[in-house]
Amino acid sequence: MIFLILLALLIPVMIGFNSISVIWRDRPSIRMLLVMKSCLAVGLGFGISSCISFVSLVVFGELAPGSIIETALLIVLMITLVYTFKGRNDSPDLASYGYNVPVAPSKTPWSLAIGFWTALVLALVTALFLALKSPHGIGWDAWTIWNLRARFLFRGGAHWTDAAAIFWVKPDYPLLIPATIAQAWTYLGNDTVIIPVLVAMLFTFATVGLTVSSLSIFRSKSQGYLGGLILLGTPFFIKHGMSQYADVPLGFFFLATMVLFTLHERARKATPGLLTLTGMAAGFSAWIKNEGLLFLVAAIASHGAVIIALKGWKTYLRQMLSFALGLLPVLIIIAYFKITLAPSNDLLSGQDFQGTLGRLTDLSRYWVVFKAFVRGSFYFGEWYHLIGIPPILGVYLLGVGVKTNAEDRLPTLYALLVLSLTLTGYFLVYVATPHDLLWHLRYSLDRLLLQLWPSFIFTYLLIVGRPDPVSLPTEHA
Amino acid sequence: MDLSFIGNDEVTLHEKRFASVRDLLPPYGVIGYIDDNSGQTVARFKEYFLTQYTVAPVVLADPNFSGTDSEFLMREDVLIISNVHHSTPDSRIFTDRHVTLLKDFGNGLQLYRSERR
Repeated sequence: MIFLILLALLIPVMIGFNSISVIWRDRPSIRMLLVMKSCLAVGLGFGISSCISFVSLVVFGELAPGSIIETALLIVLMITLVYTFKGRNDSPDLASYGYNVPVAPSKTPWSLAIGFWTALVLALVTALFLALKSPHGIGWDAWTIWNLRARFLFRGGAHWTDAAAIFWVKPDYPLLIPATIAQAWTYLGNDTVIIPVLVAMLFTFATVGLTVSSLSIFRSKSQGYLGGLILLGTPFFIKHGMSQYADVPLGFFFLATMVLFTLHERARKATPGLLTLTGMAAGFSAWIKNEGLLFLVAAIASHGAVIIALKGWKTYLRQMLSFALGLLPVLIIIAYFKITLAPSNDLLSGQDFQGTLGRLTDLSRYWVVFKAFVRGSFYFGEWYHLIGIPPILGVYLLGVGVKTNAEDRLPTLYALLVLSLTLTGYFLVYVATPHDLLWHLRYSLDRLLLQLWPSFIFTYLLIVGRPDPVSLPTEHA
Repeated sequence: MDLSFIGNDEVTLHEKRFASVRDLLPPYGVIGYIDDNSGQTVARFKEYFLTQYTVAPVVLADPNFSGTDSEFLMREDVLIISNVHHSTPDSRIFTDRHVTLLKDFGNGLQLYRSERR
């Protein structure tokens, strides 16, 4: 049984890994950046799997053909991969992306490494405990929305859309998580709770892995460990990651979008495949939760603003073509879902011109939301009765200062712009909400901040100085 | 180490309580749901959704919540799950509707079928 469970999840992850390797094809080695690619494979694989499941449900009215399509796709990808990389020198080579500047011997990386691995073990034990304590998820949304919809997809057959008849089930929410779970259940032939638990766990720890591996490449190993430590030292991140809600998986795709874009900008030769993967990751963020649509708009706008300003229209159009290649298939699926199956979102259907205008011109609402954002950020992380993590990061920034690599200026600007636009979007959604404002803030703000948390840590550590004593030659204060 | 918490979370316990009911339900469709929780309380909301989660893909129609046709439970030939917490079933079931008891599961759960008045 355990073997079958692992296989049910390994198939989509392998599809993700092979897709990354095939799309990002001009690499000398499959093994190169293995940890980063494996972490990306979790999210992209689940994203691809959920799209196949959705198409299978729409076309055939059941999930079984999805399993056949997935297996066939995996075989095709593996053959393509073998063909593509046949005869190539299989040595991991980082030189074409970053730089390997020797760091003077220091105890800092070791202490950080020990701290990180200890925190990782503790987080895994905590995650296991939480999974055993609440296998159906922590909090109502796990079983009133996400797992309930997965059950409808798996158990309902041709009646999978009946879930829309239930109030509160949020039938307008996209299907990445429920379809991923339901497809894995289809491989197994039963709806064991282990699958949603493992999906939650994989997304949570893949986010940690992606943070550590990307920062290790772009800055230094110690900066990578520091990023991992900050994430693992955020109790709310681990607890909510295991809650089986969609906020941590959404945060994964936000981070994946930024990491892939940064990787593209750091490459010394053109790698359009990386932009295709960036588009795919951004698209999946909109296929997991409605907030992802806002992020997608922010990502496209930021990409345009940064590239046009710094590299010109020609480069932008060329880049956008590669980006769209990854985004469009996902966008078509989202559009089909939204147009034919999803009712109007409660935040949109509750709007009318007079009401919305009244709320948007009411300055007191801006003040209420602003206060909530400041307070939420200050105490973010669930360090109960203590100061939150962001203020500590602020103090750390004052201590080590701003030190960016010249090569990271553009991606850092992009990441800052995406974060700012998304945060501004969230802010305005609260101001315009037709729901009771305080109720809405109380029950969702911490989760929205959590969605941005991994991307924030990534961007923050691209900007601040490194904890190890040696600075790179290209670092500028 | 005390591991007695495993398998004793509220969702698992609710699913165990409803396991025998689920076996008698159709594979899909809409059935009625009534309980003896009073008002629009969190407890009622929670039990309704725990039951909905358990019996999915069957849809539970509860007139207490929006989105459900209030006349649904008055129709003929509708299965109705009664979820009560007292030793005797809620008398409203018999006074407001014409129903036949299909099975009393003995743990506060009964399955009824509505009939022609």
